[in-house]
Amino acid sequence: MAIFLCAAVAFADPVDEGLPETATQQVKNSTQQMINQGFNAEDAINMTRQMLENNFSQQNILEAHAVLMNARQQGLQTEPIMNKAHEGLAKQVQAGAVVQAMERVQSRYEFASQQAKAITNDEAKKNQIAAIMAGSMAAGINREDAERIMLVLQERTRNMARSHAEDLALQTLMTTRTMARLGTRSQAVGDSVCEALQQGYNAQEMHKMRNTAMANVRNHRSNAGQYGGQKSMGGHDGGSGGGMGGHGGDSGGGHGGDSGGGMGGGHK
Amino acid sequence: MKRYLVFLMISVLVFSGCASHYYRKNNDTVSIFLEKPDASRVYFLSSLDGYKPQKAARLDNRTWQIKAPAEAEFKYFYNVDGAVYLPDCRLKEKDDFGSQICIYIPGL
Repeated sequence: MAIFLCAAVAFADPVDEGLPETATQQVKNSTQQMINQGFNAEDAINMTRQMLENNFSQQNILEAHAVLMNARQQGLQTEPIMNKAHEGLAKQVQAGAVVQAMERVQSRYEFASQQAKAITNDEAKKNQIAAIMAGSMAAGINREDAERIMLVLQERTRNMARSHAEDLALQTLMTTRTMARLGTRSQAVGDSVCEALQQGYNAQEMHKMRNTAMANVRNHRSNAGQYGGQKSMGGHDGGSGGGMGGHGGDSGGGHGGDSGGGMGGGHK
Repeated sequence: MKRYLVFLMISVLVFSGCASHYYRKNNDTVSIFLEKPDASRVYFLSSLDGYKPQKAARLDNRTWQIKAPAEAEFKYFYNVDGAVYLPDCRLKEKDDFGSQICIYIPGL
């Protein structure tokens, strides 16, 4: 009897165990399919369980699973897509909108991954570059500007050693992402970054350009210093980018002054 | 000159007047403060843990605090009294749900 019980426990299906009774057989099968494809069982079950708890329809859950499994088959990173699902669930967004958001993340990573291939064959670096570019796009960089930056990058890195090319690409895209996150418009970011590349910025100078952008934010904070010491995240949505163009990276000139558009609002 | 002074004053007000959200770094921890005097319950949700609600500590009758690792980049928002709340954070990105999400990056 004891042996039989032990065997039953050992063969207990984690999907059956982990999902509530409301899960249909199709949802269970799809969850199992994700696990078979290499998704972490706990992650797959946890996400599906949360979706069921949030009254997602079977159709919505199967679509969400399909987005993730397609992404994995394409060799894309799936963690950001799953994170988007969790974000949507936490914000109690409607099921259909969560699936659409997951598709948008998948689409950004697909595009970014294609672009990254032009810079490196190294899988880890390619993923890193793709993640940063996808982050830039989430922050407001459109495909046209992303392509423009990548074209100039390819031109610059054509005769570079691979490691130097990867470094320059990473620093360039991190600067792009930071400027976009600070609220600078896509075209202005594209103009600044492309101009910097065309003027011969290397990876360190790109890093410096990014630090300058961040320092400008800190300076805005200090200008408002009468409101107290360490406050640093409050403030206006716009006005980030002054002086991020221009060679030398310190502050002068360039296209950075255009900022703020389209980042305001939000839940309040 | 007058116009310049008016612009300067508006800029100072705009850049400082909304300082209801700020952070203090202490070694490997960052304390994130939200001033929300009218709130009864504040939760912090971040990409650090799959957006699980973390209850913010109430420091006084207007300030709420949460602690997070200082050296990790993460995305976050608040839930204030049952509703999503996005503070006036400096770094943001679109959230794909028609709104935005705040981003913390070390060093800013």
